[in-house]
Parts: sequence; structure tokens; C-alpha cells
Amino acid sequence: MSGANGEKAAFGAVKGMLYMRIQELTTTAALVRFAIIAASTFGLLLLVGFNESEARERFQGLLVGAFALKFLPIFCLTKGGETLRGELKDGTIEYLWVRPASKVELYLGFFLSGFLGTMWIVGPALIGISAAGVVLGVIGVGGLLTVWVVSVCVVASFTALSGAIGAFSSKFVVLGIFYYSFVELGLASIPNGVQKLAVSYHAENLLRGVTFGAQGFEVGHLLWIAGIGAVALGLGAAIFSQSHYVVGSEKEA
Amino acid sequence: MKKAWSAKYRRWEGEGVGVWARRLSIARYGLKLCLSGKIIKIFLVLAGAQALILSGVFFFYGQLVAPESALLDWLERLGGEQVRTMFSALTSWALLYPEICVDGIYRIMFYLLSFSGPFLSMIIVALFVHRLIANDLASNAIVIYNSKALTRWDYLIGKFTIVSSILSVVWIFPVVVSWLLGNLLSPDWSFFYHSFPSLIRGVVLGVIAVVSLSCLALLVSSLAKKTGAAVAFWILGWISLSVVASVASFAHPAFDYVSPTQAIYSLSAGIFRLLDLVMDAQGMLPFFGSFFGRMSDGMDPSDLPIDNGEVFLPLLALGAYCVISIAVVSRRIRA
Amino acid sequence: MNSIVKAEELSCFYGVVLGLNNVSFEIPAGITGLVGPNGAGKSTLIKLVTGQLAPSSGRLSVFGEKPRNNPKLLSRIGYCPEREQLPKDLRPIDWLRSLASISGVSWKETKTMAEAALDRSRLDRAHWKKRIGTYSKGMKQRVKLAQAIMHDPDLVILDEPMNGLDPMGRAEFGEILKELNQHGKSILVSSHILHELEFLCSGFVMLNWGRVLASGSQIEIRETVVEWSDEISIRCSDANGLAAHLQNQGLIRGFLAEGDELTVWVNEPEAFFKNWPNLFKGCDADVFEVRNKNQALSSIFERMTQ
Repeated sequence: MSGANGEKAAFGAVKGMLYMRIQELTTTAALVRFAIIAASTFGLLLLVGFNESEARERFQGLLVGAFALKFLPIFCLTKGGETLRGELKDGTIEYLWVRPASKVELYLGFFLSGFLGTMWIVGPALIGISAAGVVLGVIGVGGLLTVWVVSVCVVASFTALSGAIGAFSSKFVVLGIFYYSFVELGLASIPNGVQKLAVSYHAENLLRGVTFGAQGFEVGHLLWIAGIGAVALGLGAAIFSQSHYVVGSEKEA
Repeated sequence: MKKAWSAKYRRWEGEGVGVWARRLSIARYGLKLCLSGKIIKIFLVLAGAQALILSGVFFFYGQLVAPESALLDWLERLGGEQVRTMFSALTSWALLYPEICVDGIYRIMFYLLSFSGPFLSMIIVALFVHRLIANDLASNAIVIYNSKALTRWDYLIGKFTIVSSILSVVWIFPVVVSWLLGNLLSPDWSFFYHSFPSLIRGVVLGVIAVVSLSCLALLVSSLAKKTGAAVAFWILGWISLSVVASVASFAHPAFDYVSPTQAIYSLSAGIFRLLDLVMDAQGMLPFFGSFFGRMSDGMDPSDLPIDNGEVFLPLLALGAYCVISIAVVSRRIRA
Repeated sequence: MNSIVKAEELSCFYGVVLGLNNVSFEIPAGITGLVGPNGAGKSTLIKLVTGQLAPSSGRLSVFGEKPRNNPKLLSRIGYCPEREQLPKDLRPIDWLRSLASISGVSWKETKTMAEAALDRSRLDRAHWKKRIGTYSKGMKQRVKLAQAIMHDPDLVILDEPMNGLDPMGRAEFGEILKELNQHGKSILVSSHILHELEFLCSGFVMLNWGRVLASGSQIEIRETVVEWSDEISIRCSDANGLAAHLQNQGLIRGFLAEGDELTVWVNEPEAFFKNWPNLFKGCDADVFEVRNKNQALSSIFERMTQ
């Protein structure tokens, strides 16, 4: 289909799917959830200040150990593929398949709306963490910038990985946990370069000493994270465009 | 009219089954559905395999303390007189202090077993949590259940039976089976008697873990509007509570029990009381006494890298989770 | 015949499960009913036509082109699936705008298009601000129809659109489809209840067990049925009088009179129909309608599928 001028608008599928997602994420319930997450994360992180002498160290430990290396990967790996699988299960994907858009374009739309949905949870948590860090005086502007850049890249990469797993199987949540266990926990602890396949390894390096002024920031690590995400995105698009899905059930094609 | 009715429609006049049979029929159908995947079967086999590993350990230990076992002969041939002396000391200790040398080994092994429980439970429940209540709520099948001769409590008991049966394979089955097998294969059947307290400890921990985790699983399943969300809620809830607990414990250590995992670990330490065991061993056993003495002078137990763990607060936290779960779930499944 | 959809020896299998088995037919412009019981292969055929499935063998063309992986052709097709699920957190206008954008319409035009489509599907403007999750079944069907017709397609495909609608809703839905047809749109509408479509469609494709039982206009399908039924329904002013008249001539072997409706079982159906005006001569009753009961399209289909 074309517009009035007869030409197909560029990235129409991506635009349309993002618009749909934004509308879903700006309902009152979603906005309230956003505020609750930001407030509760902020409140929770303030507890770090109970012991002032150890606050910086504890903040660093929570930010990297609990948030970036544990919560982010598990959350994104279990949530990232939900958009595609949700549409497949509800059958609403049928409305998209019969549109004049390529499957790769549709998959890109799914990835971006999945990324947006994940960021809608991670974003307020990051706001809460950043605010708590500033209030406690344990992180500087450079550190915050690093945390945000790394977190966004990590979320994008894990969302792409989850999307690829979701394109492959409806059991993407469980497979995502397996991926986390074997690759992010397993491979990340193997030296001699194998560990570079784990996003967590790069995130850990990038965020090392972030409360002390972003000492470990190297663009190479960021490129690895982006590269892993790009490969996952390509793989997911290939699987999605070549697969036949059974709409309206949990069954595989 | 009467004739036509009896010819066209015959009312069932068989004997009605009791309410427990009806509850069990919900559980039977649910179990069939929940165990239909391949991955869950693999994990249940893994959980069950722990029983075999423990039985192997108990068998091996039993053979070590038996005066004339083939294993001991073989080890003596390998190690010579020194090994013979060492194992004959072990045999004597087992006879003299069975509460340490027999029960203690069972206690340590069951305590170690409790570390695998939370992780296996998280994975196994994640594989079927969406099929418990979320499926019925999403497909509106709950209305059909409510239209039958069952109350929502019967439905709840049926669903609870499903989760608790599956979780028992993780928490209770390995304890009971390994205790039975280990003792049956032991050289002296008095091991049954001596290791019985460990069995009780293991079963008590298992029952508490199974009940509390089953309630939590039902809660998560009833909160999800979509079936897929139940799985994500379960895993993310598990992780989030761990993170929240670790942060909140900065304010007060008791907040650590916000995480069910931490509560179970602490309860496990509280039930198995390994510090007491070590202190007893330190006081009674000549060789191990000096070995532990190197780590602690025996005056201050906190010097040792183990503790007895808290019982009351974790139990309170798990109890609170159960009460909240039952309250929420019973509301969610109301017609 | 200038056909819009043309199938030649078309088959589609889901593994070892049969969807469509070696069918050939043509669908002309106009409103065509795709009829068959559950599992007949209607949805499979629709999925093939909309390019969601690839044929296992045979050829299928829509507007002379293969539908699979053909975005250009898909822009000429509007599809309304059977499934009721819609994004419940969205307002209809937002959902339609997104779909229009996915179809490649420039963002500025999407709003006008979406509003026009909702108007054409007769969804009351008062409901436009509500979220789809709060809609009744009938309102959801209108939104589904709106997304199918929004981009002004040449062929609109509707899979069981009347499901769950009340009689008034069905009638109104039929009117909307007729209106679309008057504007030059071709419509392919599926249903497992034939009488829903009998007064709406000009042509039919009847399916059962993955095979085409009959296709063509109502007249063409009737002509394919050689056997006439012996059960005839007559609406007249004096049912008992007419029954007596026919019996006296030895034409019928039984009758049932209910009010002005007379049902007779004739001895020679074909001869009766060829000569029926003369047979009523000499009877005082006024005859309003003569119907061979089993010549209704639904009865033909019933017999075909037995």
C-alpha cells in the first residue's frame, strides 16, 4: 500500500510498531508503574547510606553486582522476546503479516518495541539509582553517564538475544535463563578470550570502579556488547523470516 | 412426559465420590498438564538423581566404618598400615559417638543438599507456574471450576497439591530415599536409628520449603493476567526479592529474610545446626577436635566459618508469605 | 470470466495433516462466500490467498500474481481474521494509525485514513476515545473490519466475520459489505453457516474435507444438483383445500398443513416442478410461493457434505 503520493513511506513498519508500543506504555497504569519503580529503587538505594564509610563501596557492589550483572541480564532475557511471542500467542500478528512490509522490517519493529518495553522498567530503576547515587554523593556525572550508556547498550544487546531466542522457541523465558547460566555465568568465567562472548564480562569491565570516576571505561568493551547484540538481531531476523509459526498457541511451527 | 424424559435423558445414579477425590482429580489433571514438557522431566530427574548421589555417599561412608568391608581392605592395600590405623579409629568413633559420626554425616549431607533446592525450585516452578492458575484465569476456565460442586478452597487445595507434589521431588524425595537406601546398604542397621534425627531435620526443612514455595508459586500464577507473564513474574520476583533483601539488610539484618532463598538458607542452618555439631566433634573426637581447634580455640564459636542460623525470623517471613499468598489467591479465584 | 482469485490443483498440507487437497476454482469480482463446516479448509485457503502460507503444490494467483512474499499485492488486499484478540490497551484510532503506517502510508495521512475507515465500518464516534479492551464483540468486529478496509483495498477478505454478532449486527454488517461492493470492492467472506451468506453473496465456493464441492453462482450450483427432492413447501390461502386437490389428482403421497404453509411429498418431483402452474388449476386457493425445500442452498450444501 502506498500513501497519497503513491510512494511507500520509509521505515513505516518500525514507526507504526513503535507508535503502538508508546501508546501501550503511556496508559495511566503504565505511568504509575514507572513512578513506583523509580521511587522504590530510590528509596531502597538510600538504605546504602546507613553506613557512610562503606556507602560508596556498597553502592558500587549493588550497581554492578546486583543490578548490571544480575538483574539486567535476567530481566532482559526473560522480557525481551515477549513482544513477538505475545503477538504470536494472541494471534494479533496476523494483522501485521498481511501488511505490505517485509518480515525483517517487522522483526526490527518487534525488537525496538521490545527494547522500549524493557527500558520502560529499566529506565525508572536507573533514574532511582542515579538519584540515590547523587543524593548519597557516591557517584559523579561521568560515572552516571557511564552507567546510563552501558545499561542502555546492555539492555539492547540482551533484548536482541531474547528476541532471537523468542523467534526460535516459545520457551524463551526458560531458555533465556539457561543462556544466562551457561553463557553469562559460565563462559564469562573462562579466561583466554572465551569470556568475551558474554555481555556481562564487558559490562563488568566497563562499570568497574564507576563510583570512583569510570576507571574501566574502554570503547572496545562497548563495541563487543553492541556486536553481540547485532549478531543476535541478525540471527533473530533470519529465524523469524524463515520460520512458519502456529498462530494462537504455544506450539512451535 | 416422564417416559420421554427417562428415555432421552438418564440421570447418573452412581455413587458420588467424596470431596477429596474431587480435589485429587484437579491435582491429577494439573499434574499431567504441568509435567507434559520434556525440560521439566529432565530437571525432575536431576533433582531425583541427588538421592542416588547421597545414597552413594552414605554407602561409601558406611563401607569405610565397617570393620571388614572390601573397600577398607582395598584402601589398606593401597595405603598400608597408616590407613588401617586411621580407619580403625574411624570405626571406633562411629561405635562410640554415633550421634556425631553417623548422624553428623547425614546432617552435613542433607544440609549441603538444601543449597541446590532453591535454584532447582526456581527453574522447575518456572517451567509450569503459568499452567497453575494463570492458564485458568486467562482462558476463563476458572468459571467452569466455580460452576462445579467445588468451593474455591477445594480448587486451591487441588492446585496446591500439584505444586507441592512436584516440589517434594526436589526437597523431600532425595532426603527420604537417600536415607532409606543409605541405611539399607550400610553395614550396621543401627544406622537407621542413629541417623533418624537427621531424617527428621531434612523432612522438616523440606516440608517448610515445599509449603512456602508452593504458596508463592500459586500467588505468582494468580497475579499474572497472561500466561507468559507468570513465568517472568516468578523468575523476576525471585531475583528482585534477592536484590531487595540484600539492599534492605543494610538497614537491618532481619530484612535479609525478605528473600525466600535467604530465609530458607538461614532456616536450613538453623535446623541442621552444624556449629553445634562441630563444637560437639571438637569436644569429643580426638583427631577432629585438634583439627577444628586450629580454626577456633573453642571458646568463641563465631570464629568458625559456620553458624547455627536463625529459625524464628525466617520461619516468620515464610509464614507471612504463605498467609499473603492464600489471602490474595483466594480473592483472585473468587467467582 | 474475469477472475480475481484463481486456484489450479492447489494443495496445502500441515505436515501430514491435510489443509486443502488438489482444488481448482476461480473467484470472480463481487461478493463471494467461502462456505464449509469447521475444518473444511476455509482458513487455510484464506491464509494462502493472503500470503501467510505457501502452497504445498499447485498454483494460486490473486489479481494474476502469486501472493506469497508479495508486498505489492498485499497492498491491494484487506484481511479481517477470525480471531477476536485485539490489542486491548489501545484506542482504535491509534491501532489503525499504526497499522496504516506499517502498510507504508505516510504518517500525516494515517489519521485521516483511520477516521474514514472507522466511519465506514459504522463505529460510533462516541466510542473512539475508549480503549479496545472495553469494547463489545460487535464493536470489536467493526474495528477489525475498519483495519481491513482502511487502505482502500481491491479485495477484502473476511474470515467468519459474523461470529458472535446478534441478528441486527449481522444485518448491518451485511449492509456494510454490500456498500463496499457497490464501491467496486470485491469481497471474499467465509462462514460455516451458509444461510448467513445466502442473501449476501453472488457466488460461492463450497468446501469440505479440503476439497471444493461446488463453486460458482447460486444458479450454477443449483444446476449441478441433479436430484430433486420430493418434499415441497407451498404457501397458500387454503392449505387443506390445496392438499385435497393435489391428492385427488394422485400427485402426492402425503401432506402436512400448518396455517398457510403446506408441505407435500410428491410422487414425481421433477414432473411436478415442470408442470406445477397447471396442477393448481381448479383449486380455489391462492398460491403465494412454491419452494422445493431441499433446493435451498443450505440444504444442497447439507446433502453434499453428508
